[in-house]
Amino acid sequence: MNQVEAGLRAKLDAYSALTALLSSATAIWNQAAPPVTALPYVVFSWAGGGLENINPSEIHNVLYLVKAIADDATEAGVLQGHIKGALHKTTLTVSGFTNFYTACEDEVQLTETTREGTLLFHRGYFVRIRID
Amino acid sequence: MVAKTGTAMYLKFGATVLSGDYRTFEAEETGDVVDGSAGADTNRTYLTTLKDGTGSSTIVAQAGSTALWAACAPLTSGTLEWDEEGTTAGKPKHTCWAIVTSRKMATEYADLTVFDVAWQFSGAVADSTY
Repeated sequence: MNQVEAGLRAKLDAYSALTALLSSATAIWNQAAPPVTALPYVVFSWAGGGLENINPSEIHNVLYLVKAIADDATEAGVLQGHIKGALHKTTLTVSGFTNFYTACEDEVQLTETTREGTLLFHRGYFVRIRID
Repeated sequence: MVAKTGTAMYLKFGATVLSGDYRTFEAEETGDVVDGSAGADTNRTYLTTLKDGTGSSTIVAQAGSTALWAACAPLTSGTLEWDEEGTTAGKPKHTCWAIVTSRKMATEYADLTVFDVAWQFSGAVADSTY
């Protein structure tokens, strides 16, 4: 949902503790980073949810995966903490809607081995966002 | 026969339209009877007395607004109108004078804040069409 993604990006962009540790202040990507993007960076992507249809208003309940990717596990863990700091219990600006609930839920930790044999550490959260 | 859901519901109490944030609405009409059996009767017989009715609704509370909550203050009276298929011409329409007998708000840490309202009908329910 474009409006939610814009709000999510704006909130991450504005959290200087996070952006100061990324490879660039704008190293936050929707879906996937472009090839050969310098580490570390953050990606977010839709992970589930949609309209609740519990009343006539348009209450959406969506889940986004927000994670940092780094070549060092500790560094990725620090960035994970900043993702929580940026998003947990905050209010996103979502055009056309009111965000009444934003919270980090399940933690995400996985390790990826590239073809070159490098380890990439993914750390982040599933973030639930509810808007009306 | 075609079944229906409540998505088109129009619910109004007094001058306040509640249906924009309603989740459920229930209207119950009852009739009282008295036992008329006596003597050597082997089966109970009944005489009819008075009709009665109540309504209830669950409504999603809106952030930064108390309009719906305020409209449902206890002992507030007004015309309660419920049209389960909306206000298109020819669709069912029900109205009744009603008094709010209770309202209850439930707030949960990580869920929607909703409130329940209960009405006591006062007088007959008028069933008509738009």
